[in-house]
Amino acid sequence: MNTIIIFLFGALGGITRFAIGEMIPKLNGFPFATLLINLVGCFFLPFLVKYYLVAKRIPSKIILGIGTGFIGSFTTFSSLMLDSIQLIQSKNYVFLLCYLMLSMLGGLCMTRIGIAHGRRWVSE
Amino acid sequence: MSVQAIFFVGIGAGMGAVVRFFFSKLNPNSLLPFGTFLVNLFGAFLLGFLFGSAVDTSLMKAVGVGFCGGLTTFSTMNLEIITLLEQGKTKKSLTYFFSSYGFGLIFCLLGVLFGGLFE
Repeated sequence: MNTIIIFLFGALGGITRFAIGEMIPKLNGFPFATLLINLVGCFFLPFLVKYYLVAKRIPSKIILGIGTGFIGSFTTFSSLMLDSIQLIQSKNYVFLLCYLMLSMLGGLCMTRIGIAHGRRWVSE
Repeated sequence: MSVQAIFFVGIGAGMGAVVRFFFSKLNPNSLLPFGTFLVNLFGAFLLGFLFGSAVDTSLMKAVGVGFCGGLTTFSTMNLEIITLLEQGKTKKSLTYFFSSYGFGLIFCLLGVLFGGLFE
């Protein structure tokens, strides 16, 4: 049962990522879409899975589907790595540094903000 | 964005997410969240390989955008890093953080180079 739920939500997460990627093309090789998707996902994973959906008493199987399935599949580590390798290959080191720093630090910040927002939301 | 492309990406991403879910069962029993770590490195290598070997677009959509994207995850990794930090496991958290990016880049580059042999 869990497998089916994760498959369906994972498929939706991947399609959403694909659609956003098609809508926001790379600008001079800078992967805006992947950066945006990854940072938004980092905020929503803890906010929804640890706080909002739990407080709304959503069944745990659906929370697993949304967290591990949808958001897990929506965000991506492999594209972040390949985008970076492509920026190295095109010797675009300024973009490479910006992209990696924004992803590495931004991911941690957005996760932390998602947790803080969740805690505040639950306490209100 | 054709219906066929959406279908390929969806099937691939669903399968990737299921494989990641099974690997995530390794997370609690190991030093680092090893399941997430492994799928991220493997996905980075595989996507690099597909890019390096210049596979055709439908295979790239199904396996690259779909499967590798669904298999690997950025949000879960960041949540695991923050959770380890909040538990006071700073050294473990930093090891996980730097080794994911360091090995991720190395594995992806190896994938691109290895894929180039099959172009």
